Amino acid sequence: MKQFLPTSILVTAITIAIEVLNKMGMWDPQLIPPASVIFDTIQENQEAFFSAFWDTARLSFQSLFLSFILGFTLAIIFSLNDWIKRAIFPLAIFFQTVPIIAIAPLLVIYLGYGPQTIIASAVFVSIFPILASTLVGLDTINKNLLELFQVYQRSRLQTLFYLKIPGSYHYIFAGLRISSGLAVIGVVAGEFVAGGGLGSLIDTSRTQQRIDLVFAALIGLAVIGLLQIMLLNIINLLITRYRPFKL
Amino acid sequence: MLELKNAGKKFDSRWLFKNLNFQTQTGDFISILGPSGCGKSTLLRILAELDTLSEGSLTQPANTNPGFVFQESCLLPWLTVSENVGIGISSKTISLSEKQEQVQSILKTVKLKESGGLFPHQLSGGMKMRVSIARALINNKSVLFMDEPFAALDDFIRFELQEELLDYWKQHKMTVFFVTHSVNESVFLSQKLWLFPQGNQQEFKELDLQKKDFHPQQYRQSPEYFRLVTDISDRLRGRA
Ligand SMILES: Nc1ncnc2c1ncn2[C@@H]1O[C@H](COP(=O)(O)OP(=O)(O)O)[C@@H](O)[C@H]1O
Ligand SMILES: [Mg+2]
Repeated sequence: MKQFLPTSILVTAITIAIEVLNKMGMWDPQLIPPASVIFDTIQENQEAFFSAFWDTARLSFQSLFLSFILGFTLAIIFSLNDWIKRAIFPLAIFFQTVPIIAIAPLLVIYLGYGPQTIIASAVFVSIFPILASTLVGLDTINKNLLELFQVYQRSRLQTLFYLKIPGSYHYIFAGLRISSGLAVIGVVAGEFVAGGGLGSLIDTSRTQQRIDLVFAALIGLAVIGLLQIMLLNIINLLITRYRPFKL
Repeated sequence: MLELKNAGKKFDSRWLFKNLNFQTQTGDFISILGPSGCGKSTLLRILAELDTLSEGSLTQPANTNPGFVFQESCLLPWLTVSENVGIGISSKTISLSEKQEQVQSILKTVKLKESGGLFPHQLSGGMKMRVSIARALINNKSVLFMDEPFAALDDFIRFELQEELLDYWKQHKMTVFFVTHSVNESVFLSQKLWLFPQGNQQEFKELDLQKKDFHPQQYRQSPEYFRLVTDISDRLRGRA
């Protein structure tokens, strides 16, 4: 917790400074609303805000989970078959360069308005880090260790579960952290075009010049990102504590 | 028991070695001696069936139960010492309690009885190598392949481990293939040497040291040891 102390002090100081300047009439709350105004806005729009918050949060978590399952499974398949890897991986890299904002309208046409489009958009952007880092992890397994498993006559499946996956665990987890931020971005991009959640709250508030609501939504998104990282940290702690990869 | 006939190995079009003809008996302690880069590790990996010959043949007895020790200790960092050692048991028919018993007993042999619960990052280099050796010895291995296992250790620990390995071999008489680039080490440990071609010696040589039975600690000070080291060093430089 100590590591967050400098940031906490800075944020608190800025929040208080804006509040004070605002009271003295030296601040334009139309540009950046002070914390008290944002707080009031959230209270006034409680129902709409929290329902949007939970929608976005739920879809972010679902997308991240789906990205993990898909990206991880793809990486395992790639590592077992070089031909499939060389066929698909370059495509993944190519699609990685296409901005999600440009793809999202297409997804609406294909999948319609609804959560499926939002999840597709989020998975589209957040799958790559997991896929790529798992692949790197699997590739960096010490060659001698692989031979050791060969000498002691371990099956391919045993080698996968007891050597390759635990050996690339830190890579997989690093990819997951990157993906968790991207999943939120993908959900918001999806919500811009497909509607619903904090994404469309931002979109409608923008057209109504409701800066305070936009800021409320931004804070909501930040909280979702934090919750995801916290969940990942807890999972990480449990895995390193209970070590499910024992042979 | 094991036989190499006209064995040769090439990478791309470069021959690493050719016309290798060796035979071993069960229970031999063989050092494979040669300078860095001459192909010792490759030969050892071929004997352990981790690589294949480019020409010639290798015949091995069926159902060997091999152990392998690499130059680095090669432990899995997420497993404890006991769990790492357990990897060496390839048999699927063994019960968990039997497995734990074997692990305990081999840890005692390599003087790590108290360290079973530690993780590799908590061990010194010498201890890591002991774990690696325990993993190779467990379950009464019939063949042991060792690739310069002590090269990275300091002299005190190297001498200690050499002596313990020799003691263990005298008791169990498993076949050992020991790769090294050190003449002293090969003379101290083994019964037979396989010399890679070097200097003006073009052919592979097998040398039977015909050692008398010394106690390991005394052997290092014996005149016979010095004579053999000098003799083989000279031979390798082409002076014999
Ligand atoms: N898989 C490989 N492909 C190509 N060349 C190799 C391979 N493995 C080893 N070599 C080459 O073979 C030579 C001998 O290697 P090695 O058996 O490790 O020697 P040593 O163990 O005696 O030091 C080296 O020059 C090395 O570059
Ligand atoms: Mg070598």
